[in-house]
Amino acid sequence: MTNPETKPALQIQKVTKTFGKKTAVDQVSFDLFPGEVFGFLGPNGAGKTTIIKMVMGFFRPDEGTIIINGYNRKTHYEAAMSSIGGIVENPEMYNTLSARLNLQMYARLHQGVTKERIDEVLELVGLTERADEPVKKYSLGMKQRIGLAQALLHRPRVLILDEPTNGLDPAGIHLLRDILKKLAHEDRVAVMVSSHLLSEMQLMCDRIGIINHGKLLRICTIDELMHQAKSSSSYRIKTSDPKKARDILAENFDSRISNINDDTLDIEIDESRINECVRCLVAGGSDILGVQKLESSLEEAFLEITGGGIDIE
Amino acid sequence: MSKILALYTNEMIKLSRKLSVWILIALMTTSCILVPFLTKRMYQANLSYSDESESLDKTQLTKIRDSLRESFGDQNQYVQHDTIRFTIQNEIIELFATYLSLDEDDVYSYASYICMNTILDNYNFDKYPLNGSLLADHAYTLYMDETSNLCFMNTIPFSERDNAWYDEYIDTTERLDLANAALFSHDMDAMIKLVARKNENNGTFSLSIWKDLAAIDPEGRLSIKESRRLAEALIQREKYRKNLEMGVDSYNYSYIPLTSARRAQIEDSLLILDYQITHDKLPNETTELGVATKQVTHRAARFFLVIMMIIIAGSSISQELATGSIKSLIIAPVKRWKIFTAKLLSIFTWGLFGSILITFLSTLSTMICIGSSSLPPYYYVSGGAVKVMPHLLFTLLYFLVDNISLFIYILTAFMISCLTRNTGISVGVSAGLLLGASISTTLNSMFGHQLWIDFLPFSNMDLLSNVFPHLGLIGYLDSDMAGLFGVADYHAIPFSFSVTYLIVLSLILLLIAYDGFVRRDIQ
Repeated sequence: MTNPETKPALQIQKVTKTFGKKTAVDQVSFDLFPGEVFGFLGPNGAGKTTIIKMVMGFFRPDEGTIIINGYNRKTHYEAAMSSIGGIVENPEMYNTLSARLNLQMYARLHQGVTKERIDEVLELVGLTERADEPVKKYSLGMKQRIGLAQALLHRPRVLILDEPTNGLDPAGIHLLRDILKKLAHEDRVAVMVSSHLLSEMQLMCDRIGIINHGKLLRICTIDELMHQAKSSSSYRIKTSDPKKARDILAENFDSRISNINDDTLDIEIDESRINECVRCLVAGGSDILGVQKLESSLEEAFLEITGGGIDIE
Repeated sequence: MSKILALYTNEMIKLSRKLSVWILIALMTTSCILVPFLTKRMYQANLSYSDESESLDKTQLTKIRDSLRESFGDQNQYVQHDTIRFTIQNEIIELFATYLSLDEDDVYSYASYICMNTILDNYNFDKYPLNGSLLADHAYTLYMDETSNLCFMNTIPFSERDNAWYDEYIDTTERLDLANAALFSHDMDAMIKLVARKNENNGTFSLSIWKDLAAIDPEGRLSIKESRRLAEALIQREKYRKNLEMGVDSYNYSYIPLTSARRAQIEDSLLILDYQITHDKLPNETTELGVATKQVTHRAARFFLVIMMIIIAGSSISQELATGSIKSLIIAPVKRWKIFTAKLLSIFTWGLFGSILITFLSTLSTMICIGSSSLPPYYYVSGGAVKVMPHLLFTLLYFLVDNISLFIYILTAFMISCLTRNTGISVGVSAGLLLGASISTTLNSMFGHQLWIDFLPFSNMDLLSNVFPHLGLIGYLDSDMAGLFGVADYHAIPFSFSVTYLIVLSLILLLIAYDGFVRRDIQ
């Protein structure tokens, strides 16, 4: 969990990157703290991968500073980069070599990675048995796992995963989520995950940053986002005659009706007023068969923040 | 430093797992082993053919004589004499010549016929095989010539014989006497006198060559091949002397004033040639075959090596970018210039490995196929004295110099790979440059030598002829001195210019490659 007293593991300060005339990342600043899972949320092309690639050393920022584990990336490149691990887009290995050899080669570039550690991460991602096969025989999911193994190999203080659930089966996603939570909350690793899937973020992250058009629009905890969503929740009321119910509410109650079906009615009201609303309906002679809270408002909150109308899948 | 070493180890592992690398190494090895065997077989086939044409023993001579006689079939009645004594016995010859009013061809055949008869009767085939030495071979030809001359002179009617005819006649008979002595008594002095009398370069060799030859081989005992080689060396020596004397260099039928560097080079060559002649170290049949075999083998294998290195260097960066495997290098805590350095070093290691392999294998298989004595040492001049460099040491140095062009090709392919980040382009362009390297030779021959041609990379890539100016003296073929990809126009481009040029070129290539990989973003 966020702890303001802890020193940030990753600091991004006013980072800008342009490609030709297009500004891909515009003055983005945020901190990433040990022990948290930070979600980087934004539609496709929002600038998530560009930021990640800048942190990982693929791009040089045009402006701004990146500080990893207290080291400025520009002046202390190797010291800074030795405490970072991650996957950018799809993990790509040397396909003709075995997973173990790939890891051994990567381990050679870090200090203090033992043979046992390689076995350990292979065990962790569940690839021990197939570690000696060439990587080209692996499925996408297995490649994701080996990529994760590589990212964790040198016990990084900062772990950055770009769309980590791509190609993973539900069991894999579950495993990944557990691993990440354990790493963050027990080993105090700062984890940053990017995704365009809100539902995934909800399950995984402690904090999220929402980005669109290269600008970081907002950083908040999942709870804050949920709270914002909750302040105008949607409820689905099941009744035999939704039209009648609508008329009753229109006459006696101040609420917005978002949708009407054959036997349901969706309304948007504050959580505190739902009791009052049901009472009003009952008083008006409508039969209530069920009341259900709709979670979809989180997405609406997201759309609201990013400006709406964008493909979020 | 340890990071570079780690990266280097990884690069070596990656390269060692490339199938294309091993296929090309297999091709290199195969050609190193196969080519010497093929060369030897071809040489042997050629040898048995040329042996037949050269030997001329009693039986063969008899056959030729008999066939000549048959061509005289119906003219036999006119033939009064089978033999001619070549003292001045005018009447006998006159008689025969007058009786037979033969046409030119018949005179020649008849002269040959009586020559052969005389040889069959008087020549000692056991002591000196006919055609077996340069002296015997030459004396035989001259003896036939002079006999024919005499016969022709005798076909002139008496009425037309004036004083000039008689002078010529006496001269011819005297020459015939000398040829007689040279042939039947194997008299070298007589041969020299005869060559002097003929007073023209009628034979293959001039008088001074014959004199030099006689000084080394007074009895004319060297085999025809040996003495020909010796004579060729003598001719070369004379040519060098003449060049120095006149202060010009003959090149492609034109004459260029000698530069001081070239003068020193020719002086050295002259010293070496002298040494070789006096110490009997001239290239012989075995070393010529050995050197040729090694050259051909090395060239074939080297072609595969260059292709291999172009593929390795041209794909090194671009392939990793294409497959995305570069990511694990970028994410790692290593600066990009270290990745760059390690990659370049690993490529050079493989080039070196391949080069050592083909040098070693081509030397070894030549020694096995042709014989260990077939590879001559290299001679050079140091401090005014001729020094001998053992063949293995020479091979090592040769290989280092030979790799300069390989180095440039590697850098070029690597540079294009870094710049375009496209394997196809980098391998394709480099291979194109490799095959188009002969363009400077073409340009030279099309437009004559022009200054800008000197600034083409290809014109400067071959330093072999600069470092080893005396390769020709141990039987290396001229065309190979040009290297596989260069031009041996050592008159036009000074050594120091080429070296400076290559250093600057390498630095430029490195700089472009560095900028292309280290400073640009990785997408």
